[in-house]
Amino acid sequence: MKPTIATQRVEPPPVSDEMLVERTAQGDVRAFEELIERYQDPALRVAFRFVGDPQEAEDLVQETFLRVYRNAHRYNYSARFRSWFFQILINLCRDWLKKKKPFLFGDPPLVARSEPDPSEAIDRERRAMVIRRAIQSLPPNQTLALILCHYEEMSYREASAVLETSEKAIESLLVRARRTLRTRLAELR
Amino acid sequence: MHRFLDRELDREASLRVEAHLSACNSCRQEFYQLLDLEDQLESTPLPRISAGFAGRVIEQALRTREPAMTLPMRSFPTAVAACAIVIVTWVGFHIGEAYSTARRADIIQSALSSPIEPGS
Ligand SMILES: [Zn+2]
Repeated sequence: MKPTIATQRVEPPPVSDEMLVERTAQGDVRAFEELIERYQDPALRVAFRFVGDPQEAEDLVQETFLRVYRNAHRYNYSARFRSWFFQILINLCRDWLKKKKPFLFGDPPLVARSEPDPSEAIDRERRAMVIRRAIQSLPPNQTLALILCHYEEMSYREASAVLETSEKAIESLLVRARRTLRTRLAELR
Repeated sequence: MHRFLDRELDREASLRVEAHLSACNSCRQEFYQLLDLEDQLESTPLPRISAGFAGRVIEQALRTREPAMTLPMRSFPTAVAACAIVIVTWVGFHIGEAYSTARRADIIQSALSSPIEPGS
């Protein structure tokens, strides 16, 4: 006996990101809110790892969502929403880098070995900061490739779409980034 | 090796790399170093998005403006109506103006003079 249509329909499929942008373009605020819910955390992670300051990172994420809202009608299906979204965020991050104050550019401080170790927590925090700064002090494209492929676990293909380059270039950015980091972070071990 | 680490290789290629790593000491060392680095990179705490973030974004989005696509669509009838009013007013004004130019002086004259000379 054939199952009826009603028994086949178990749960509605989750609404795709692409559908949500389309609804956002039509003025559906709930759809826009859902996009924010889905992307605020990964966006903050990416921005924070790039700029290193939580407030600046959140400002960049906010501006990204505002641009998504204003440009939702321009989204076309040639790229996944996720790629389009991160492209916007990363362009904003790059603009931020151009405008940022030069004194923030300084070399990453290496662990001050002469200092006595006050507590394990502070030591851990310092290590984390050293790692973050080491990543941020790489050439921007290497930093971005590492953030997208290592931390956000994007495929080379998706990262190449976001950074508007080739998969081969992504691989080479990662090789160089890891080589540099290995040297710089060797002292942490 | 990086493609292997990033799980970019298909099954067959991955097996080849694994086989090589188990046989080649220097590549294995290299690979372990990469794994160590991966471990190090994991240990960075992250900030959380601040409370009420979505609400603030939505509020600002709505304040700035509607999504651009809906704007012309929704306001299209209004725009047509506005244009029509402008055109009608403009045409009307000029027809009226042409018609009345000759008499304007008289009308103004009489309007000005009427309170003064109610009898005229
Ligand atoms: Zn080898």
